[in-house]
Amino acid sequence: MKISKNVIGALIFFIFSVSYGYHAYQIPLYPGEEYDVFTSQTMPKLYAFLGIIVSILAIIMSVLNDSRTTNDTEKSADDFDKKSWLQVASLIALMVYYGATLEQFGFILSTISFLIFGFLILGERSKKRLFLASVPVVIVFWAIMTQLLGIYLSPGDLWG
Amino acid sequence: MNIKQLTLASMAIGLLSFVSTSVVANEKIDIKKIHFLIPGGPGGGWDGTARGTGEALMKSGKLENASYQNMSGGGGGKAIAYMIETAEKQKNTLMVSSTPIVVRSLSGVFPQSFRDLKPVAGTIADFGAFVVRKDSKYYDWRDVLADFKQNPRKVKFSGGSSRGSLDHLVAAMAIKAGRAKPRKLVYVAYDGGGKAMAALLSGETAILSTGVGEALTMAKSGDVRILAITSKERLKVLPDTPTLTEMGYNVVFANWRGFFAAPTMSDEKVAAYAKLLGDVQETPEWTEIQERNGWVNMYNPDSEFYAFLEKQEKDLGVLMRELGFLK
Amino acid sequence: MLDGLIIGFQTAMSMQNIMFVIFGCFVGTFIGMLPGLGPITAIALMIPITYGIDPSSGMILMAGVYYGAIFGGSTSSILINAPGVAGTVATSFDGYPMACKGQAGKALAIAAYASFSGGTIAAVFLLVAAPMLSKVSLSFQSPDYFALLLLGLTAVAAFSNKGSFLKSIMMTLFGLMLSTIGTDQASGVERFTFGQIDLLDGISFLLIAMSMFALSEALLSIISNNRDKKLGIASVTTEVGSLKLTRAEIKEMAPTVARSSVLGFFVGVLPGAGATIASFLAYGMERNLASAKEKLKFGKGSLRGLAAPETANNAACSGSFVPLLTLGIPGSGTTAVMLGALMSYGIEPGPRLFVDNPEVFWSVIVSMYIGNVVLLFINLPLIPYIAKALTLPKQLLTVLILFFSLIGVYLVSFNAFDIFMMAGFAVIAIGLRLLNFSMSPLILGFILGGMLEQNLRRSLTLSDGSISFLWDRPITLGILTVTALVLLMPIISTLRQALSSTSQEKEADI
Repeated sequence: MKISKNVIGALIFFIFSVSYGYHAYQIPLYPGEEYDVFTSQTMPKLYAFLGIIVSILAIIMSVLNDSRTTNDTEKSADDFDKKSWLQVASLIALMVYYGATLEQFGFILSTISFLIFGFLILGERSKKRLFLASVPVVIVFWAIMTQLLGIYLSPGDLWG
Repeated sequence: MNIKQLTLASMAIGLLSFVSTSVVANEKIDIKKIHFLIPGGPGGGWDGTARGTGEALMKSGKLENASYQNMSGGGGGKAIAYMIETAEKQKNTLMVSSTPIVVRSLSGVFPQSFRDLKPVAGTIADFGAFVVRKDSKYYDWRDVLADFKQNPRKVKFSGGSSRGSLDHLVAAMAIKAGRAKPRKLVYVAYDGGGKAMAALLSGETAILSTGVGEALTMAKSGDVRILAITSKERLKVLPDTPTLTEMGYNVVFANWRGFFAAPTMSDEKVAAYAKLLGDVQETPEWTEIQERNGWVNMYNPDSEFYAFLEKQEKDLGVLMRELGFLK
Repeated sequence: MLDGLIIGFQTAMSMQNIMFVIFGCFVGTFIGMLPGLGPITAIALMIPITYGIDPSSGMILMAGVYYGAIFGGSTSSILINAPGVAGTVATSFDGYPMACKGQAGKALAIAAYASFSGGTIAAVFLLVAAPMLSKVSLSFQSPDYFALLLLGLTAVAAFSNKGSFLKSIMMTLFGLMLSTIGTDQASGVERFTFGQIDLLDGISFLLIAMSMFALSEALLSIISNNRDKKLGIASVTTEVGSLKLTRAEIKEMAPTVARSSVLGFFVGVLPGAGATIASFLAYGMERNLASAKEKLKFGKGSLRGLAAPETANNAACSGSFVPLLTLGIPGSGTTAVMLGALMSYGIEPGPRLFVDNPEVFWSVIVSMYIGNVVLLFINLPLIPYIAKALTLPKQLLTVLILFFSLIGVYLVSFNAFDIFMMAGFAVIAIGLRLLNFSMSPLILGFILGGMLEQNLRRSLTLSDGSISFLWDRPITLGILTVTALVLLMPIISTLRQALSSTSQEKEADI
């Protein structure tokens, strides 16, 4: 039996609601609050409860729907596009890299490298374009932020 | 080498080392520049304090270079951790902070406390005020206390910050000093002083705990009355408003703002900065900025500042334990 | 009032002040357009510049920046589905689909005209009734806000882009859950922070909006672009289309604009509500008032669906000046910064402002007119150029969008951890979208969740635990009744249809 996206989605949300609900019970209460009707736990518990109900409903409905209709045509042209997904994954990794290096290398260096790597990942090869699309943008941005607006941008711990 | 050359050489070396050590010694106490570290975002209270102070210092010529760095997160904890971790590099950095640093390290919001840094000086303060609408039945703080003792639920205090923060603690302090049970205080939290004031004016709440600075405008226009403030003596701007102290309650609370240095800064430099921050308060440039922002001067340098912080920590600690915020 | 107008015009029409309005609008639009940089930062940065000039001019400058930013924010909402300002989230619901269909130019033009109309009509209200409106500002209490927020939540959450009611409920709940992360204001207790100091203040709106809208959109577009290239389909979004609106279209949108301005203005007047709620309520209202045929267009590129929130958010901006100027109460972060600025000029907004400093009061209002006109003239001609930005080669555009989204959030908090969070949320958003979940109800739940809970909590505390707050005040009761109607409407109409169409084919109605 092919499990449709709808069921998967609802199932994930179900699991999430359960774990959210579990953690909701862990929320500390301040002394005296145990007797209150409405506490810091109330809304989270409510959300978790509703989440569980709705996701179960959704699972049931999807299963019913799926057994009624046969749609194989969800996305037939969707043979797993490895190249695109690789690009997406690399860009996500690149963002993590950016977050890690921004304060170490300093804004200018880190951003230029982020942009250049990003362009490279997406297939840009022309050295001229790589340079032109990254360096001027960063310099101008840096200039506006630090000189015009007085916002401090990390010069980098390497130069510290 | 002959003796003559040797003597000259050693004299040169001696002279050089003398000069270099004095240069180094002077470099240690170079307070011509300050890099302000602001634990919050641009436009906030800390930000305004730092930039205003920097502006006064620059304009009055006491400072040659001022730079500002915002670093928000963790209620100010991130900047504190940063100061400690990169202490070596923060040779000219002063971090601005205020009372919440004491409150939050007490409640464990962050693991560090003011002791992990070097307090330089407290510079300004805002006192607490209890405010009611102009058509309120309360004219005297003591009536509020009396009603509270009868039925705490009838006298709910509102404030613009979350439960357990300053507005709440100040109200609890006042209640406790009036010999009532602070635990019974019902505190209604609002998202900001403006909304809390709006709630007061709309009739939703009866009494508001806030800072004098925020209540001043409304009080002057007559829409609200300030029943009491938490300074020791009456304030110039509010000559008719009694203080809790003069009513016989032992409550003095100041929401101070001040500056801290990295733990590795030498004591001489800390003292030098402290003096700088005090000197600037005598200048007309400072007065202009001070009035512009509604600040009240409360200069507390160096070791006096440290003692003040310790006392505040102790007092607040007792209160917070009683209220159940601390185990 | 007439002398007020005269004073206002005299002050506002000075060469200097007009320059300020224009400058402010430019700066504001520019900053608003960059997804991420927001009006609060923009205005906060303007403050030092304004120290040297007189208060009226300073206010005029800041007001210009404020409107400009709101308007600029719609640009990124429409073009790249990246609402940088909470008030423009609703704009993306129909604005982005329009852009995808090649109607970006028209969408931007509608946004411009709608914003202009909303702002101008609201300015008229302000002019006529400002001092009296302060009473309205103070008429709402926590139960009323709760009801209003509930209305906003239901009016919009009930609809969805992908045709599944349950899915949008799940996303709304997810957004509500995300809004609980952080320190609970009413109790001072940490929730779902797992010891992370960076989560103490909760997750910022900007972070969620940028990562779940802009980042995920940009990343997913890589996949669809590559696929389109393979199949030889031309990329959809480079077409801008004409800016012109036909008479019929204008006629269709006119009632929407009128209604949304009024709604937006009054919501803006309330200190506890602002452009964001106004835009959601207007969107919901228009959708519910539309005929069944029209309703289906919402979410897919309906003109009304775009005009309503755009009108409402600008009207609300004007409205939010009421509590600011007449009571000295800021209703939002932006007005709070302006309040700080006013006080630093030595001007005390409040009931006295009207009397003591009439020139400040009236000139701000008049400058709103001027600002609105300026905005229209700046933005309409700019649209083709702005849209040209979309024609940059996809590789460059995508990475630049990533950069601006990340840096926009970083510049507010200066916390590298936020960037990591954004990467994480982007992954989550991509996963959700692939499973056919829509992001809009999520962000709606997220934005409204916090306020909803706080107001509910306060209402219960103030009523000492009794639920009577739900019907104690007429305003609360009134709004809740409307909410109930909104919820029941689809059910009632389905029943009606089922009853009346005995001989006709029954169509599944979701």
